[in-house]
Amino acid sequence: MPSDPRADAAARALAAPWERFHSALAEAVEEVRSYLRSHAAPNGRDDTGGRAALGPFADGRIDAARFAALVEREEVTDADTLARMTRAFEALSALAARADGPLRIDVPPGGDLRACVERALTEVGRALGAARVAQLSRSGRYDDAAHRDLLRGIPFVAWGVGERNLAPPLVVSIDGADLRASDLAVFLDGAMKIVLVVRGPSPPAPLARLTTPGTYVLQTSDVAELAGLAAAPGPGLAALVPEDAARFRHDPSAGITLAERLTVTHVPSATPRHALGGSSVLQQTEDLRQLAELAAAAARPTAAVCAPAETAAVASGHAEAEPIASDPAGRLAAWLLQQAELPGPG
Amino acid sequence: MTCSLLDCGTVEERDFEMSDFEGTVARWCPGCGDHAVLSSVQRLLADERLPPEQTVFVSGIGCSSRFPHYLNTYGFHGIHGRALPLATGMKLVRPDLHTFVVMGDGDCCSIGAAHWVHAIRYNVDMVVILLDNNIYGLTKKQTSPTTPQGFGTNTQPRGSYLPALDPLSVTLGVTNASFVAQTADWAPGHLYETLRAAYRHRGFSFVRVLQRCPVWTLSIFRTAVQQPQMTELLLHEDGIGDDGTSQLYKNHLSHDPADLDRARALARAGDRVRLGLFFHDPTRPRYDALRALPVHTAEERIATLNEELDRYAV
Amino acid sequence: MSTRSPVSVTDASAPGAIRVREHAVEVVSDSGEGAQKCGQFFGAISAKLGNGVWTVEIIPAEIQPPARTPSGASGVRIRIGSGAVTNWGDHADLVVAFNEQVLLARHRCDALAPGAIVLIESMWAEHHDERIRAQWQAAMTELASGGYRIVPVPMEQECLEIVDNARRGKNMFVLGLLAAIYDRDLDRVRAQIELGFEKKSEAIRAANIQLMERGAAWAREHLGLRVEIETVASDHDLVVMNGNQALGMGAIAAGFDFCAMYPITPATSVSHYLADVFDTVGGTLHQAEDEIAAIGAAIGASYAGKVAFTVTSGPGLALKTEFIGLAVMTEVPLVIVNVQRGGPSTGLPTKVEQSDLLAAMFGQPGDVPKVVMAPATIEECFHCMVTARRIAETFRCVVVILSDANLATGVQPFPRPQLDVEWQARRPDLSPVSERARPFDWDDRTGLSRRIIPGQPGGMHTLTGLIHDEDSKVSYAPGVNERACSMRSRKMAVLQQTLEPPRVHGAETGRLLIVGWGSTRGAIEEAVDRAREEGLAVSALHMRFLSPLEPGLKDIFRRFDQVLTVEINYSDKPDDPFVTDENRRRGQLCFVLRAQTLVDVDCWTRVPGEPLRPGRILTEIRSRIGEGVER
Repeated sequence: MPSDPRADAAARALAAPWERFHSALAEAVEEVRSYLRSHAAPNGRDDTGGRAALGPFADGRIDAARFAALVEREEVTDADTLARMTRAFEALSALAARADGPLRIDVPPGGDLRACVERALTEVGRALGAARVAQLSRSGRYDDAAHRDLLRGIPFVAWGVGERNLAPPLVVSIDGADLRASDLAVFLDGAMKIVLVVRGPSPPAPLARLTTPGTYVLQTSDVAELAGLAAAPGPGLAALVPEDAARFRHDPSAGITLAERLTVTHVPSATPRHALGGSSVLQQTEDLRQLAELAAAAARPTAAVCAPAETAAVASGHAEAEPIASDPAGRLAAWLLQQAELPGPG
Repeated sequence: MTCSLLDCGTVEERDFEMSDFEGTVARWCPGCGDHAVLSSVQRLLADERLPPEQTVFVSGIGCSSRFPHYLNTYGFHGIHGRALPLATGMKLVRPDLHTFVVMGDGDCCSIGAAHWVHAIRYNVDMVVILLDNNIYGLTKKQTSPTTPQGFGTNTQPRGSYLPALDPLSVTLGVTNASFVAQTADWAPGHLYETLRAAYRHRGFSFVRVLQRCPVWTLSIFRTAVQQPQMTELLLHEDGIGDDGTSQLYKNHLSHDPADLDRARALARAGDRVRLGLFFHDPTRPRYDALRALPVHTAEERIATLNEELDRYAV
Repeated sequence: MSTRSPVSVTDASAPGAIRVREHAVEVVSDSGEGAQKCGQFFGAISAKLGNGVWTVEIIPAEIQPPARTPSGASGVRIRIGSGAVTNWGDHADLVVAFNEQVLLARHRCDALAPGAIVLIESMWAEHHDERIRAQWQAAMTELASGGYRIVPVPMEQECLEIVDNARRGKNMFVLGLLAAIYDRDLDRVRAQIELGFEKKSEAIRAANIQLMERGAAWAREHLGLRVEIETVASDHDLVVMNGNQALGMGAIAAGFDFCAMYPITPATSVSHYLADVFDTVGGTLHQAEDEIAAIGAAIGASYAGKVAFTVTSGPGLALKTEFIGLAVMTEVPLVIVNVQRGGPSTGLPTKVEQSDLLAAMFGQPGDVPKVVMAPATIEECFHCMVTARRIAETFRCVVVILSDANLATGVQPFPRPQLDVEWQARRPDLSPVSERARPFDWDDRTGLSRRIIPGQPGGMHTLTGLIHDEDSKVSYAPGVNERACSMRSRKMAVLQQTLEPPRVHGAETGRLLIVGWGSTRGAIEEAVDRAREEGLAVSALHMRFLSPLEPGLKDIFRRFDQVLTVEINYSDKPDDPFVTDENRRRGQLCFVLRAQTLVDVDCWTRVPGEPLRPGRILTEIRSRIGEGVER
């Protein structure tokens, strides 16, 4: 399938968070590689590695076998640990070698967005599990009974705070008809960034419901705007939508009032008339109404609408402090509506 | 290390007490101001919950530079005047390490002056403590750049010939200075609050500690210690936190640490000792942040180098 | 074209085709006229065609020396051959000079072969300035002694047909001349210009190609001269670069990711190279505020878990002295690359010398055992970085690499390195260490100890330059210093025990053995080969490890009647006034060999500010063992 230029551009825009993830992954690969090099039993290994490590300059000048015998004082680890570290190394380097940019997902027409994202994150989860196994093993804390399953991978729900904060960004290409963005709410945690590249007609405001206080949300047709998403400290979701869809940005770090955080640049005037995939006319209308009300609330000249204390903390970048709600989309949509109905202090 | 995936899955929170940071028993002279600084530093490390293995103290040569030996962290007791280059190189490759540099006045302002000036400009994230006792103490009383004019020493027995160099003015005069404060060993509360503010600043935090040498320079600091009215506290909502120091030192001066020109004016020597935050600008560019680079696996490095070799291929 | 020159000026169309095994060509100009670029291109093209090539720059000490002065001569010598070329040779067979003053400079330092062909810019002979015409006349008179075949070429006039400023175009015109004379495929030449100016605009590339083509056309029309050198395409993939680029690239291949330096000639171009590409592999080049800070930052980075390196030259090495002592005392691994130049003091910044061997070995107060090694070729500049890092890391020691200005600016093709993941540095293990772990848990036999670095729980300690015990605790107790010194020294003995004896070039026995180190290998071995063809029983031995010395030297020396070091550093001549066998100051390797082997090694050393010429070494060989052999 020819790659969508918007998806390529989105991947480029997310280079910084990807780089953070990839750096941590590369560092882990090298740490485990080094562990394996220095913990393998010298007798059980030929000296090719030792010879190679000295480089061609040493050929005929340094006796690699004697060098190894005299100077290698490296620690020997039991075979089980070595085997485990080897598997961890393989899992980590597989992910490091596979991806040369943000993880790209293509949801086939009629496909399940949530399942596709989950699948991609499972692959990341295998590397995270490998990283945990490697760390536990090298620090002598590995307990087979408790940790055996880690090498199979860690599902997203079980990712820890540190892991979520390092989550690699995703670029998801999807038909507008299949776009049920609320399915993604569960992943919007830590520093997870997802860009939806919408193919074909799109519901007018699919992300309106996900506009939660700690989350960077962007609906746009301009790829250049993704820079803000890439720089956001917390979780974020963007959709690259057709020109006729709504365009808005909710930036939690822009301030504590809704007026400061929310910028709505375009609300379509036409009323939705056709159901689009799973998105009914009623739902589309409701999304639009919600966005319009938010915009109205934010636009009131004196609308110094203060967020609750808890969400203010989230806005200042400590996104990890926020608990995962059972239905964050619903809870926060309610909060936003409540904000929209507040009268300006008069 | 640069953040590694290995470190983000298993996080443990640890609490520390001051005793966790105690190294060998300090062997400075009784009454030496360094003891107070050591206590404040140990308290800071415990309060800020800095893991001892993630914390490094780098020093040069002199009484001050024994500092790392008395802490149970990592330490590098290097050579005279050269603590800053060591710390700079270390921090550039290991942004994860909490880095402290302890120097004396001879160390920092004389033999190490070139590094001092440039380290200020690099603005690499570290806490830099200048223990300024106005004398070379370890080698038995030679004139240092900060020795007051007229003060007799073994190398200038008829009194130091020249006016003393003022470390605050020098630091404030260097392009890209970002945090400049002064405190004193005899004001422990202020000392602690200053070190804490310095630690929390991301950048080169320069703290000059006026420090009594009980053997050689007690007289220099006597007035300041015994007459609180001769001290002026710089106070501001963005300044150094107050834990009661202002009760003792009643001369207060409101000074916005964002005001560099005024900071320079206040730093100029006068009758009074000024303690507080002279200047703070958290937005100054940091060399370590600018030079932070993504990590690559060995395979990626080799692939890049192979492309590079293609350019030189015959 | 006519001149009233007192020397015979050859008819430009006269010389015919010659067939040679090798040829050396020089291009010399005022600084800034681009002769070096022209030569580099020509060398690269020749290498690509399958010639052996050695290119060396002729560098004035100033950035913009006055125009038309002998002291401003700037340029390049390219020696090409049908087989491997390992050094710059003796004399230039063909010289292209942009004015007669820079040609004089080369003539005065005996750079031209007798009867060499000289293509010279003709505009000065008829210049409107009377003074310049007089200078030309005087130069021609002086040059007469060389018997050169001087061919005036209207470079300026020709270039002005294409560009407004001929000063910036002559070099490519000359490249065209050379392409025609040496019969180089013009498509290759065009490709080289495209590559060499890849960062310039399309218009500039096009103009340069036009200039080159005009030069080639001019030569075809006006010059009968053709030089044929057989080209043999290599079986290997080759790369071509200078020694400083090779050091920089080798550093990346070795997995170094921190280099701290301060600009110093002739080492700086290593950092220029790294500045271009180090970032892309995650490496940091730190230009420190001075030489001392540079090594300090490198030690700091190594202390924090890396193996860092610094790049310098003589005056910088002098400044780094105290920190080298600290690195050795605290056993922090470190690689120091010293691209040697002439000394002492500021000395000859752009010129080659091998005068830092003793400084590298013994230059610090106190006992400071460290490893000193010297690459002999540009290829070895690349590969030695891997070995040096590995040794530094394994032995927790300082490794000094001694390159020099000859390798730094010499350009030579060599087999493309087959990069290996194993060459890359290991990441420090930040695992907790046990309560009993000690920062200097010296193995009594080998002196080796495991490195503990910041970040490892349980390993907290303070490194110190003061004398310390296994726990890094300062201790003046009797025996502590003795033991620590012996542990640091022992590591050198252990490394020496892993080294192989060096291989003799030529017969294993004979009348004379020439021992060299560093960049002189090509010249020495060429001289030895030529002498052996004359029937002289001479062999060569080239040292890569100077500290510790490679093993088996005594056995090898015993098989020769005389052992002679050939070096580019100062020594008293035996017959100098007041010089006796007892007070004679000898070459630096000679000094070391005598001390270590008790063999009466002699030396022949020169400090001409240029690489050694094989012919001069040959003369010395003949004078020692060739009595009666005529040539």
